[in-house]
Amino acid sequence: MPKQRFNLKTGLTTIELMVASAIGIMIFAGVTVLLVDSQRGWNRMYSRLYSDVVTDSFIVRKAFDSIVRKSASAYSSIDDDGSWLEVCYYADEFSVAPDLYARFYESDGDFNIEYGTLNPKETTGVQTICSNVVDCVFKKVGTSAQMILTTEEGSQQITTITSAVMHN
Amino acid sequence: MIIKFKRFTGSSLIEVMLAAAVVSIAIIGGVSYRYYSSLDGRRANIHATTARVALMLCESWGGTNGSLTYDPVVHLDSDSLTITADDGPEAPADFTTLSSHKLIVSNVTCYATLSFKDIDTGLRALNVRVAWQRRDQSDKGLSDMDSVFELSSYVY
Repeated sequence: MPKQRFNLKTGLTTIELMVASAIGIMIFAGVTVLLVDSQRGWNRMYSRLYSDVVTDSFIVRKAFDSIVRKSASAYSSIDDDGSWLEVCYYADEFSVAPDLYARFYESDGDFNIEYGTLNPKETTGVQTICSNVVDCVFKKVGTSAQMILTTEEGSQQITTITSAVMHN
Repeated sequence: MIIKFKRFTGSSLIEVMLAAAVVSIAIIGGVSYRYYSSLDGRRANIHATTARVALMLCESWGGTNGSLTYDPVVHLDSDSLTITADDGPEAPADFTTLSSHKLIVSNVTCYATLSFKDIDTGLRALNVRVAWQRRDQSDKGLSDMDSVFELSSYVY
């Protein structure tokens, strides 16, 4: 008759199982908190760089810069409270005097640029550059113009400051 | 016939330690990467903000043709950009300091010094130096500022 030998298999006791489970849960909870916090930080950083208010800020700055730099300072005007700025510029190289204008202003939380002709003074269009504006102030110092624009989206608030010198 | 069952011994302590070390390195590496990405993003943001402050000071001063009566507090101070007269970073050698200011914009505090140098008849060099703190944005004064951005412009 064949002889059979079996090793004794004892398994885990309840205490061992409980201790192992507790340690496992603690490690799992720690790693989870770490990863969640890390993910939250990453999302915050990402939105700080690529959210709508950030890209809007970039576009507004470029629009202001490109128009103001080609305008004539002698023909520009600004509101006493700095709520709007109007600059005049040449349509092309054959213009002997500025014949177009652009007016920067904020209305109902939108940042707008109004375009038009000077003679006769007619509005040809209004372009909304960005929304969520909470504060917008224009300044004019000598031949330069400044814009200080604050936009807000959710908990993120960005203040865009830009300055440009008019060409004459 | 003798039937033998292979004895299951489990993992050794060395194996468990090695596995734990590998997992720990991976987790710490991942977390560090994200932490430093966030930190660098924040620093870049502060750097860009202070650079724009310097550009605005430089261009607005240049817009007055380098006037020696130019005062950023009078011309640029607003609700979103606070400018007060204060200490500022040292002006470059051979330049004469016009004024120094403390500026707060988007919760970023920086200190600026405006200086000029008359190079030739009618030709003036304008210099703006802005100092800020990379590590901590709590306002601890000019002595704790560890980074400087500098811009120069010429008016004729």
